[in-house]
Amino acid sequence: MIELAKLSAHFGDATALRDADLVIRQGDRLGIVGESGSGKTMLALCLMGMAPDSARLTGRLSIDGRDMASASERDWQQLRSRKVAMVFQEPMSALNPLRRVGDTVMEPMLLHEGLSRSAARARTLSLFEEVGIPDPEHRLRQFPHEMSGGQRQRVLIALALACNPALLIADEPTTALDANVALRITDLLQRLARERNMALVFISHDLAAVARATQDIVVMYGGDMVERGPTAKVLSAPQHPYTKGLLGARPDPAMAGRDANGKRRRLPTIPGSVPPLHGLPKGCRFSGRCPVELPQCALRRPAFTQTEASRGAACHLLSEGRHD
Amino acid sequence: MTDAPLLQVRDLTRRYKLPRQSLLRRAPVLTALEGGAFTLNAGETLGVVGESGSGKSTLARLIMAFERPDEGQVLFRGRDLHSLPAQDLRALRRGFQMVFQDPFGSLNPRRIIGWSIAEPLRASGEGTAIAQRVAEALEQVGLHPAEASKYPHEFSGGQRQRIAIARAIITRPALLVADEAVSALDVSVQAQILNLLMDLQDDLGLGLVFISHDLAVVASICDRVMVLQHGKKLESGPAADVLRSPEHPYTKTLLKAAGARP
Amino acid sequence: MRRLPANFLLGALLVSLVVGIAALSLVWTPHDPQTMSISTKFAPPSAIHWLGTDQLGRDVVAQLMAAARNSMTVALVAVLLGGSVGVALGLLASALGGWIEDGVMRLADLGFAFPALLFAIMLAAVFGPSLTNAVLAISFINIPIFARVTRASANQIWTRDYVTAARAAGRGRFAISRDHILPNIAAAIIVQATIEFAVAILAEAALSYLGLGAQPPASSWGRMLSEAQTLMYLAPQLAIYPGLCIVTAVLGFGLLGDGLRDITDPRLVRAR
Repeated sequence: MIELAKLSAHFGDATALRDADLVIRQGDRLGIVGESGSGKTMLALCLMGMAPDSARLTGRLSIDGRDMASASERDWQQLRSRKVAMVFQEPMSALNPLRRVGDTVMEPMLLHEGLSRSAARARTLSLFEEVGIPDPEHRLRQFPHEMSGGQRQRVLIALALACNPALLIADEPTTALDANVALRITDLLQRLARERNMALVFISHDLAAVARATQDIVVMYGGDMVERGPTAKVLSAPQHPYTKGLLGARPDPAMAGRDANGKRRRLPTIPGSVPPLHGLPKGCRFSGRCPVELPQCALRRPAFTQTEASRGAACHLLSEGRHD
Repeated sequence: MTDAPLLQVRDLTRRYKLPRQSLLRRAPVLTALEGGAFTLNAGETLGVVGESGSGKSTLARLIMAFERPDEGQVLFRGRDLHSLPAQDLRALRRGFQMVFQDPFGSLNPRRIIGWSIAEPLRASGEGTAIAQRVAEALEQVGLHPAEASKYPHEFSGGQRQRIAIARAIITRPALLVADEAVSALDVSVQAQILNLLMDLQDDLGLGLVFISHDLAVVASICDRVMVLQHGKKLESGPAADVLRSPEHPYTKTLLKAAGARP
Repeated sequence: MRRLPANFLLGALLVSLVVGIAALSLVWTPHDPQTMSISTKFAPPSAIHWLGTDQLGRDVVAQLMAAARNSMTVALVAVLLGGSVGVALGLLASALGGWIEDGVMRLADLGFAFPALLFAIMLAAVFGPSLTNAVLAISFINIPIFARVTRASANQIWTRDYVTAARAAGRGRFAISRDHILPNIAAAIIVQATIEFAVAILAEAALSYLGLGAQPPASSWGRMLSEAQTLMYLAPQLAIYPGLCIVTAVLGFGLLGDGLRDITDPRLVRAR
């Protein structure tokens, strides 16, 4: 349904997204995980045709067979909200504070599908119920500031679903929310994807949320897709050194307390920090920080090695048959 | 002479008056924190866990004496911070410092970081050997002394947090309050900063009050944990215990959200 | 490679023109602006008198240049004076808060309520019309404007973490205002000052038009306009030239201030 083939986003000499390959089918629930500078945000923007003007895109991005990599803004406007919709991170700034939330949600219906006001209102009411907003009749007429953070996020989700898109992209949907609200929103997104047989792309740095909401996962670093596979497998038995480092660096409640010498246990870390866009290594992006680096890692880009059906990582160690 | 504990908080309560809803009725009052109490000794870490509205930020501000409590006391080395005359309080401030959440907002963008790091020294009147102390502080947090002449925007989020920590330790304080100090950082950077805090604690014997909404983070660095909700303490105890067998359902929710690993 | 906005560039061009001519007039004018020559009154533009002469035979270009100098001086002094007092009050109000802040802002409201022109007329009535009184009147009007802008911007900076860190370090409010607040609101103040410069030029022209500003024989655009008014059917061009100068100066500074605002504000947002 949506296919990316060697999609790259270039800013002059620097590459923010390098050769992204992805296939998203109806009903897939995919998580995209990465830290700052991983390219996950750029990927999300490309899926909506909202990459910055200064970015030069190469490669193929096709939605339902139609190549959109070089499509015009008008072409994208036809797809947005109807085929591809996005839920943003900051509920307060994504909603116009001067408009009632009902009006905001109804707008794409009136615009894209030419519904009458009463039909749009009816659909909005049912959407509000679907996303779990209590007392929808009353809430329709409220302004964003009259609602809590969790409710605003639900409104954003309703807005994204307004025209029944085939793909929903959620970009860090839980970051600005409290823990139990975040849990509920994550579960909501998962339920919606299943009930509507809608594809869900869940982009987050919150591994716990991604673990709950997705079936498959892609790990990104420095613009590259370094590992992918079923979520449960990747998170429990990572194959790429970066994924291992990332998962290892997570604080573990089981580590609470001191060791035999009375010292606190240190967290395993990935040494160094992500290089700036212009300073990324030419070969494997993770070289220079990798604990099991080979000499060729800095020079040659590792090819993607498939280790099982629909699972694999881009690492020289794997391609040369050396597992550790 | 008995050593007073580093920090003692008793019965701490803070209320805020909200804007009036009508002329006739009295203005509603929000109790941000009620009955807050704990003791912290040198070298110990206390984790304060709560979400927005739990009162954890209020607690931080009261400990740092930025605000006055309505009831209760904050005793730093046995002295009640809120009943001291302004001059004495200022002199004591070198003994306790704070690290903030936002690495982008905690440094003056118009000053080189060397200037910002040295600010606590200037305030306490220690004019001598500032450059050297700044260099020392930078090395302690893992940065090169030559970076002192750069501006904040030239650094990444993790590095800025290190700079903020350098500023907080330059007066060799005995107590550090970290208010969501790693919440805005990537996971791998977060781990580095947490390790740094633990190293500094071991080297300098610091007492640390670590405030966060993430129970997992708190558990990895704290000896004891205190869970706050709506301004009240729900439960507290040694970190390992609270995490293995949380009593309150809210604590269980926090644990689940933090993605406790199998 | 910076791409500066068009309004900034145009404004800078016009301002350089006006300020340049004003500065030039300190050392050179084609003729002495005050030399009268009744025999050559109302002369059309020529090689000797580039824009001709006025009703008293004085060279128009020389007068315009001398007037530019007066206008710039008045605006500069008024904005600096009013700005300094206003900024100081704003910083004070923001730093001290409470009833002091309320009190200062109410005083500012009072200042706003006072019509500038009436104040100038009042000063002139009491102390006699003069350039100095015009400067004082315009300065006075600027105080509440700068106080408001300063207080609003400063209040935002007080909430920043690095200011809280400075308080944690034990620094006093004066030191914080000087080292943290002021440098971070400088951009907003400079933008306001540029715009007030434009306003001050217009104000000076208005006061001179009424005869309350620069007194003869000193030159002023406003007074040239007033004199030209009675001669409108004889020599309409004498009204056009000073009018054009006023428009150019005010437009230039206005655009410059606008451009400065565009440069300073969105950059801060985009830099993130």
